[in-house]
Amino acid sequence: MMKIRKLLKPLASLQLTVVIFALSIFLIFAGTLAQVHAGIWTVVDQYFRSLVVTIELQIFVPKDVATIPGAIWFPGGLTLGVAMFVNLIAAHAVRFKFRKKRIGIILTHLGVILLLVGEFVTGFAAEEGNMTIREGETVNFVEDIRSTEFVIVDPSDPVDDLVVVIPERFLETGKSISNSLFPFRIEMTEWMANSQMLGPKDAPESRKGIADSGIASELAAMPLPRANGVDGSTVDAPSAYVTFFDGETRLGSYLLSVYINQPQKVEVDGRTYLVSIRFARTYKPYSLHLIDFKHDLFVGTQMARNYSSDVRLVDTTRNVDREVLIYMNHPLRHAGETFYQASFLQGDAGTVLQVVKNPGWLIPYLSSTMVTLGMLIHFGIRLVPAIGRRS
Amino acid sequence: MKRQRIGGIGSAPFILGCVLTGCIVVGITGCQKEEIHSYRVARSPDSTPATAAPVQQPQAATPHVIWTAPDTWREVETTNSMRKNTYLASNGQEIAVSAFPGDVGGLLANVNRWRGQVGLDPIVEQELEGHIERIEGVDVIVADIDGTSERLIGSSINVGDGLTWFVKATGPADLVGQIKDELIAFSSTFHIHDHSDGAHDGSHDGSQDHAHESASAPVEPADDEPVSITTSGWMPPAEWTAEENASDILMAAYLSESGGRITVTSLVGDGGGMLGNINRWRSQLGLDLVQSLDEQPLKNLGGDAVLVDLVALDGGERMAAGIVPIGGQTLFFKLTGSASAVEAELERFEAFINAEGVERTSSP
Repeated sequence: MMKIRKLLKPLASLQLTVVIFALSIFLIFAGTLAQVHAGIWTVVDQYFRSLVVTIELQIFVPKDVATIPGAIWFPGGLTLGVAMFVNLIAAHAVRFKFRKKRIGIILTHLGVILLLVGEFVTGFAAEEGNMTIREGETVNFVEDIRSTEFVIVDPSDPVDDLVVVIPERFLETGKSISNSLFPFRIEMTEWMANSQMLGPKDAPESRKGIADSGIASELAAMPLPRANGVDGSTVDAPSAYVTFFDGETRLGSYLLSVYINQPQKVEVDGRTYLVSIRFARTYKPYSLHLIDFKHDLFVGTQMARNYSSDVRLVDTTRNVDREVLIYMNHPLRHAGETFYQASFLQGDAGTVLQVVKNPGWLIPYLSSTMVTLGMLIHFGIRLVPAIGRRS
Repeated sequence: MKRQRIGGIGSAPFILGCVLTGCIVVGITGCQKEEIHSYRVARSPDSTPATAAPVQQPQAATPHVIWTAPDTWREVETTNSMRKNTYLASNGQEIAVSAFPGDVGGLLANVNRWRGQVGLDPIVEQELEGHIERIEGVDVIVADIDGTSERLIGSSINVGDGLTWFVKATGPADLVGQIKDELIAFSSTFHIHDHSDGAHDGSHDGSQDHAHESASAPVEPADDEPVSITTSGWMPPAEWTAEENASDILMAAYLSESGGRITVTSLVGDGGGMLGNINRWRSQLGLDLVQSLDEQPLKNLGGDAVLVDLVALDGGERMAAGIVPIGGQTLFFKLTGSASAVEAELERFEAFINAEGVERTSSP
């Protein structure tokens, strides 16, 4: 027991607590400034859910005031969160003793520990995506519009498609990708994390002819700054110029993009593969069929009164087959997921449902209650004798 | 009072604390980078096969193939357009029925395709006979393939209609193994429909789509197996016309001369329950939800069938809906439109529900 205590002692250092707090305050400050130019989810991932973050010094000074080159490495939110968690647990193990007088403090600290645990659960287990369904369509997958994937589909099986997914982290300009799961080599001629698509008449000369194969060879993609949610753009629309090789034989250059909602054919040894870039998909054991989408307006105005999606939910694994009306403040809850009415397609042609799964959604409420209660008890314990002394 | 000093910044305990914390951070978080990976998924409509021969739906002129599923299997919704039917066995194992023109590359190609699906290497022609079973008396060939993580039992059926029919079950080895005999027996029931087969024997007609499965009503359902209901014999009132381009989810859709819309939907089981559906309709009309059926006036149509009549608060929209439980499923008849249009059509609508819904439930 003494050995464990000895081991925990350095971890319980109060100086460590102060340092972690100071670093956390700076990280939050830098993360807030970073959101001026980067999207909120980009910042959440880069600053608060990472082990280490590279903070560009430019974020502290507006570009029109001065150009500041360089960046510093800094512990990310994940590092600081775990450190704070370990420090707090160790401190309790080493220093704190259970006494009635300290019950408020202990409860407060337990609340803070639970809050940290809640963020870990959310960070690692929470899933959020969109289900876009046109009227009359049935959809059984959720798309994560913050994440992109390069997909190669082998459609040779008459019933099932073999889908090979190359995650976004492999998609960088100049990178060569090969894998035993597909029979060709992929050269990423140009990767655009956010882009706009230009027609044949609008494309500048420099962008023409980069793609010589596929259905989009007449189009051109131009890189755009990442969407930051501030200047109107909220979602990155990635595109890529990609060249396929079979050994040393060049098969063609393609323009792939999330704007092109149709896979393109690449032929190798007489077999055809369908390639595309799309928002990352997660397939579900259930499906939703959109029967009707309604966009009601206040009479005589263009002001929305209500959006609603009448859907048929079929889940053979749970023996569910029912119609559900999803509308504002009335989400559908199924299989641990919640489906909110989020948006709709142009011309009311379909609906966009936000699908959220967060097993830790209750934890912040619980921890906040514990902290509040702990503080009230602690102050109460101090207050009562003080009042007694005064009287 | 003497305060305990744990160690200042730069002290050995503090540095040790930082190092230990760092190790714990890395240990807890680890490296969770996503790698290149693959999976199989039922074909989506947007990934049209390029190399596979274009799949043709059997035309009306092609012979009708029918089959009979075991009583313990339950037919479920088939969202994959390539499939003809999907069943769930009593142990939860899914069984898929599909059909494709010609021989789809031949038996060896099909067996190797199945082997690939469960992570096994292809075999050569000479090894084929050792990997299949030929069922006596029928042209059915079964392959039982125990893969690296899953087991697949598939049968290839030739009934002489120009198509190759496939019945396939993929999943955990024990579940798939439990239904092997049933799957073989099921595969052996496939045959070309001869009109002398009689009105209906609980079989399914492969030439029809899911929503209009063959059956000459009335049918005697298995205990909990949904009966198949066809709309082919339905007699809508002369004032109604069939709606063009109606959604596939609807069994039937009509437009009345008075401007009302009549739809019929069939859902498995109770389709989410009477209260749930009534509250959904109330929401659509902007009405408050009811806590129990006692709060909602219902008209009994006979048996368990009821009619609910709802009018929006402003009196603009109205909806009459008939809920008719029938043989393991529920038919939902809906009449929607302006209050006046629904009023004009209500009598005919009720008669229609009685003729096509309620009377079925009481038929012998």
